[in-house]
Order: sequence, then structure tokens, then C-alpha cells
Amino acid sequence: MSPKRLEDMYDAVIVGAGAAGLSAALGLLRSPDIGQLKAQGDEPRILVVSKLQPLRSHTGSAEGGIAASLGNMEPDDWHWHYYDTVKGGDWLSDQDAAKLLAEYAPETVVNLERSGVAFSRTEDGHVAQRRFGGHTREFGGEPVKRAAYAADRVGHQILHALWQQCVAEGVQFAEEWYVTDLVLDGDDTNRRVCGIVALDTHSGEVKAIHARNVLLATGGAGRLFHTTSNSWDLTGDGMALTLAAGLQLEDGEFVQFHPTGLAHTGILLSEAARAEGGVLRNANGEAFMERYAPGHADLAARDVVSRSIMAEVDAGRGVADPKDPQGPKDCVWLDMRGIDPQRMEQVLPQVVETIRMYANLDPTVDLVPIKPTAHYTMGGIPVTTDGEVYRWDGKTRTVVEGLFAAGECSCVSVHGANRLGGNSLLDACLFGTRAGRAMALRIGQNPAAALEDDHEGDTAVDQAAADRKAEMAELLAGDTAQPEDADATEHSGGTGNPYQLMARLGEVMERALAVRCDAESIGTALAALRDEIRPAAEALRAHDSNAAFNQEVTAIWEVQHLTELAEAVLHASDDRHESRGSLRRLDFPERDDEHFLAHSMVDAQGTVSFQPVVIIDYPPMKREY
Amino acid sequence: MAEASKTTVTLKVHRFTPRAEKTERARAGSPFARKSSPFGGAGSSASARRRPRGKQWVQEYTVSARPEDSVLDCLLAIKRTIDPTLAFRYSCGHGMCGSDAVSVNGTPTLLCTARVSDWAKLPGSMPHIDDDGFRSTESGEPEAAAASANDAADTSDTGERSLGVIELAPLPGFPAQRDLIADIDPMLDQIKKLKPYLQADGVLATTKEGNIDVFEYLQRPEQLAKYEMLSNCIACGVCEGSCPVFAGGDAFIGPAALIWASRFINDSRDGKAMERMDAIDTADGVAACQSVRACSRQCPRGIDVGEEMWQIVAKVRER
Repeated sequence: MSPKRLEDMYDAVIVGAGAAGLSAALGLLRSPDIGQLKAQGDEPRILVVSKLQPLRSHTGSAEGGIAASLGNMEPDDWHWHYYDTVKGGDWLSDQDAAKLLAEYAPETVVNLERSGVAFSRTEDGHVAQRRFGGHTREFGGEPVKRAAYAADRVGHQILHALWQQCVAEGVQFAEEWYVTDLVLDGDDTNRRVCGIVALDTHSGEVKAIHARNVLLATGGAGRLFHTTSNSWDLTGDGMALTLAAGLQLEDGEFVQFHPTGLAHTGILLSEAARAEGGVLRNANGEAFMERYAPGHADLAARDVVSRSIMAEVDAGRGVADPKDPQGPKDCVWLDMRGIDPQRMEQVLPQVVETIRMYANLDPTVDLVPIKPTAHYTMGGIPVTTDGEVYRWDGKTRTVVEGLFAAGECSCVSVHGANRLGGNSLLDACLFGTRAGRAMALRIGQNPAAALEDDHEGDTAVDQAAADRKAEMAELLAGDTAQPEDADATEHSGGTGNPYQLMARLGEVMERALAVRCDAESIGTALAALRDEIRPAAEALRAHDSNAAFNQEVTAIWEVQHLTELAEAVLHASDDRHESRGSLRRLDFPERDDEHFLAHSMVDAQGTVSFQPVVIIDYPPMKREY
Repeated sequence: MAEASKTTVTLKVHRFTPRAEKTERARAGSPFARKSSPFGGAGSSASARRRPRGKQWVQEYTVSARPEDSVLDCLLAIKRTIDPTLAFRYSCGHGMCGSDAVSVNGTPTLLCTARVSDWAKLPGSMPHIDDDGFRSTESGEPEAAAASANDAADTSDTGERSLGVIELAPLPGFPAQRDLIADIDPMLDQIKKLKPYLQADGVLATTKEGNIDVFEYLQRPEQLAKYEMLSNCIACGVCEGSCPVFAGGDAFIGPAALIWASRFINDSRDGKAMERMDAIDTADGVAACQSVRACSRQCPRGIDVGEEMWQIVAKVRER
């Protein structure tokens, strides 16, 4: 679906059509401000631009649940949820944001249900809830059933319900358009958004899109790493666009690795596999987790288990993926043979299916190779609790007028240094909705329909589009050193291959940062990026000159985005001289609240400054489970 | 040892590159413009069968592959090592996003769930495909595949064993856009036409002093069970490409749109069941279903589409 023609000026352009982007669209359209505007006969001009058809968004892969203190199964209190979120984040969460997250979680989940989500139910018809790691009662006590779920497909249900409601609201989509530029004007003290530039991948045309408000909701950046649970499209585009526009990223060094990815595929095997009795074993057959987390063993927190697995691998007790027997011994075994086969089919159907389909193994008799898999980026584009993007100058926040972000690409900092399960969908839906409402407020005050065409930024967007068009032509012209041959069907020679380069980048980043790092591993990766990857990324050219559905052009820009982002993440990791949450510095093994109870703010030049954490109710304590 | 020797698979890909028609894009004469049809979606009109102009050819790629690899793995290896210009949709890679439905040996299915060992055929056992892309009407089912890992043929000079050939083409019933990418907008248009969203009181909750003022709609587990399976549809288009009525180009709103309609008709929270049934009680709605049940065979979410269609047809007739 593409718009027949673009408006001269949009009230709002939303980039990304997962849970955050669609929630923002709905939050905007359902707001009183827009209702008033419509009553006056003004239709707001809204466009949702997405790299994928909306129903393909990675939100659809979320399995477990969405956390809210509904108390449908047992007593619960949003203050407990608030505390658990802060503790789970190793006290790096901003407490004003975490408080909103917990307080408005019940409203968010109830409204998802009222929008059509087919939640699993209790016998009396209420939304059913299950336990999830780190969610407790009475401030760190017994586990509590807080995650609302829809079998093991809650993400699919939420994505579809949100899209359905957008259809009801008549939201206009530009599908399979890839955003290449975020255009701002002004200086450090007074920036504002002018619009975006996007490639319509169907026609191959570059489009200038003028907008008074832009919201980025492009998801995470799992493809920074070779082994990831993220889809192929999670290339950190929104974060890279923000860096390229002269803004910063917050807490980019915090990447959650889920302990049980299916060997080299990275596909997630749910935590439930261990909850039901699965045990991790090293090459010697030892059930090693008891040694690292006495009492908790295989059910310790995600970051703890991932670190233990890597320690075993580093000590030479890893195993090779049976699919690649000559490859590195970078996996350990998940032993599910102790689970009754009948029960396994019953309670772990998705896990069993994944192992059969993608490892060709039978978990009732075979050991299953697993490896920590890059799962979630806690950091991202810095935003206020209303989703406004800001720049940090070392002392104050300066909001970029009209620029918003929400979901995994953003960092309102509810997750701090480590995210709790069930909080990601909640973050995306809740803060997406809030950002949508904040945009509606601005639109109500100043609708584009009522404006004269006096926008100074016009020329900036058109100029950016013209530059991008010229670059596109250059990419399509191919490797000019070789004779042009339109009918060439073999493409092994000539210029580099973006898909290969993306794989190479993933290897470099994985070696440097996966689960643990130190100054040396970070330095090695920065050098590889500077000397090898960046020059190769900049030299990439397309091997076919036809612009329509030319996926290679998109891949070239994706790998350039990833390179930009990788450098920022490495610089942020380099400057945090402590270990906290998901970040394990081997050379700085302790948490250091005196110096680093602060958010890192990194820009495209690699300059890092720190912003204090907002602490309201819960002073930092030792994080123990 | 057998495990030590390398195996390969040959992918025979039906490729297509549209002709660049910059000046014509805005005009109705463009091959990409959807035609209006008395039956709504373009998929039900002649334009679905109308082939966009451009270059068509069949290209063979031979890559290293293990029997348990997915066809998507093989295509990604081709992109990385042989031909970065080959175009196909893919995203999550494990059967949840629904973007990679194509025709594998003539059968619509997902690239990421199609295993090489299930689909590779040794040369000689391939169904004949003529120049216009038609195949003979023999079975294209995976069990008909003659090759398995054990009886793979030796390729003399390299010592690598070939697991066989897999033939790939864009999803039938939809206009090809480039290589394996097909335009599935006609399906989404037909889904959207049937108001695919919950219609209830529309009241939403707000929070005051930490408490919400409205609660969820109640729905007992047995009420959920009436439509839960239907709500798992990922709109991949496999059922539509399998349907001889839909893919054959007759006027039919298609199995996917009917599954979505049925999902809401059977949802106890929805208040518009009668209106929804009226909307599909048309010549190109339930009446067009011929109960062939080809739609059930490859559904990646395990929905028995044919049976569900039968149920909704009965329900519409009984109302």
C-alpha cells in the first residue's frame, strides 16, 4: 500500500509500524485534540511509513506476555511492578518513567483487550496472567502472576489488533518505504524537525516528505550481532538516522542477550524450557549453573545465565553446533531429556517445534545446542516521558521541536541496564500512545491544514532528497571500473556484497561485545570498523541498475546504518568503566554508583557525556535474586 | 563417512525484472496500477493474470546445503555469495511474520519453513513447466519428492553430493513484481473491505489515581476457543495461492478474507455478526468457495482453512 500522492505538508509522519508506531497512530487519532479538529471539519494529515508491510513487524514474534498489575490471578499492586522494573534495571531506570510504566500498565492492557487482542482467559472470563522472571510481590518477595498472555503468541495478537484498529481509523500507510534521512534545521539551542526522505522500494523513487511532527518507531538493532533473535530487518535504522542528524543515543552499551538462543540460528527458545526442568550442561556434561548461582541455578536472571554460559565457553568447556561440527565451540547444551515427553509436547509446543524444525533434533532424546542471542536494546534515542527527543548538553535537556520516538529504538529509560520480561511490549504500547497524544496536542494547536506554505525547512528536506537521489544514481551505476553489462547474471566479482559485509560486521561485534567485553576487545572492534568495515561499506555499489524492488540498495544503506550505530555502541561501552545489568566489563567487574549512576549520551563523533539517573522513590541497592 | 561429505542443492528460480516505465507510472496504462473491478480486489479480476511487462528468465543456482536447511537459508546464501540481486521477501525467518510465501515446486508455502530434504527432487522427477510458467497438473506435494539425503546423486568432479533441484516461483494468484516478490495488496484490500476490527462499545479505560475506570470485556475460555485458532492467521497468502478459484482468477474474495471475517463473527465480544455475514453472503463471497480444500494443506499456522470455510458457509446459510 502506498499513497497515491504525497501531501505538501503532513501533521505527523510515523516511521515504523510495530507496536510503538501503531500505538502512536492510535493515541494520536483517539485523542480529544484530534476529535475537536475533526469536529471542525479538519482531517489531520497523518502518514505511517514502514520498511515492511505492518503485519510483518517484529512485534509479531513476541511470545511470553505483557506485564500489568491487573491482579486477575492474585493480589498485585502497581508499586510492586514499579520497584521490580527499577531493580531489574540495576537502578539505571529513570524512576519517573518507570513509575508511569507501572501505573498505566493496567489501562494499557485493558485497552489492548478492548481493541480486540485475544488474550488467554481465566475461568470467569478475565485476562489470564502468568509468572515472569523478576516480577514479584511486596517489593522483591515471592513471584507474582503479572504477565498477561495469549498462549505463546501475545506479540502477534497485539500487532494484529493494533493494525486492525488503524484500519478502522483509516490510517494511511506507505508500506515498504525505507527512510534514508531525518531532516532537522536550527542549531544546538533550537532544533526542529522538517521531515524525512524515504525510498519507495516498489518504484525505486526517492521521496521528500515534509512534516511538522516525526515519530521514529523503528525497533531494535539485533542485527549488530551475528547471533540474534531479531528479524533480518532490525538494523537500527531509527537510531542511526538520529545519530546522522547530529543527535545522541542514550545507554547504547546495554544490549540484552537472552541465554537460550537455538545455537547459531539465534531463534529464541522460551525461558519456559528451563522452568519446566531443562538443565544447561557444558562439554563435560556438568550442570554448571548451580556453581554460578547457588539456589537459583538454571532459573537465575537472564544476564546471570548468559554470563555463566560465556564463562564456560571461555574456559574451553563449550561445544560446537552439531550443524557446524568443525566450527567454534561457542555453545553449551540444553538438556530437556528429564522432562516427561508427553508433558513437553503439552506445555512447550513452540519450543519443541522450533528445535525439530530448525535443529533437526528431538529434545526428548537429544541434547540441544544453545548460545546467548542478542535480544533487546535497552538504550536508544533519548526521549522525555511524552516521547519528545532531546539533546543533552552536559547540563540540560533541549527538546527537538516536533521530533518524537517510541518503542525499542527509543530510551525513556524504564529498562535501565537490563529489561524485565513482559516490559517491552508494555513500553512500546504505553509510551507509543503517550507520544501520539503529545503529537496530537501540537497538531491541535497548529494544524497543517490551516497553515500557509511558509515552512522554512522545505528547502532542507528537498535538498536532502536531491542528495539522496544523486547517491542512489551512483549506487545503481554500479562499479564503474568494470564494463557495464545489463544482462550480467553472475555477480561474484566486482564490488563488495552488502549481505556478506553485514555478516562480517555481526562477527566483529559479537567477538567484541557479546555478553562481556573489556577495553581491548572494544579497541579491536573499533579498529576493524575503522580500517575494514567502514571503507568497505562506503565502497558498496549495487550489482543491478534497475531501481524497482532493488533490495541490494536498501541493504547497502542498512549496513551503513549498522556501521554508524556499531561505532556509537562501542564508544559508549568503552566509556563506562563499571559492570551493571547486561554490561559486563571484565576489566571493571563491579558496579560503581559513585561515577556511573548515570546514562551515557553518545553522538556520531563518539563523544560521550553522562546524564544523572532520575531517582524518586527507590535508592540504589545491591541487585540480588 | 557420509556426514563428512558436502551436499549441495540447486535452486531453479523463476526471475522477473519489471521494465522501467518512469513516464507511464502515473497513467492507467501502467502495469502496476490496480484496475477497478466490479468485485473489488484486483486479485479477482483479469489484471491478476495480466503479466507486467519486463524481462523473465529462469536462473539456476547451486549452493552448499544440508538436508535440514530451510530454502530461505539457501536463498540467503545465494545473496551473500553468488547473486545479491536476487529479490525475495523475508523477515523473521521462523514462520511468524508471513512475508516469505512463494511457490515451491508449484506448491505455495513459506521459504523459512520449507526444508531442503522435503522439497529437493533429483533431476528427472521434476514436473514439466512450459515457457508460460504453467506446470502439469500432477501432485506437487512434498511427499512426492523423490530425493532424500540418502539417495542423493554424486556430482562427479567435485565430490559434492547433490540433494536435487528445487523450483521457486512467486506466489500464484498475485501479480509478480520482481523475482519472487508478488503484490499481495489485493489480499489485504479484500481483508480490509470486510471491516477486520472488533466492533463493540468502543469505550476505552483511563487511569485515575492509580485505578482504571473500565475493565476488560469478559470472555470465557470456551468462548475464546471458538475463534482463537482463526486469530492466529498471519496473512501470508499461502491459502489464497493454493485456491484454484482465487489463483485461477475467478471473482472470489478469497479464503484469507473469509477467515478474518469468521474470526470476528465467532468472537463473543463483537456485536456485528449479522452484518458481517450479510457482507460475505455474495456471489464472490462464500458462494464462490468450491470446497476444494487445497487451502488447508500448507497453512503455516495449522488452520484447517477448508474446514473453517465450510463452517462459515453453513453458518451464513443458517442465519
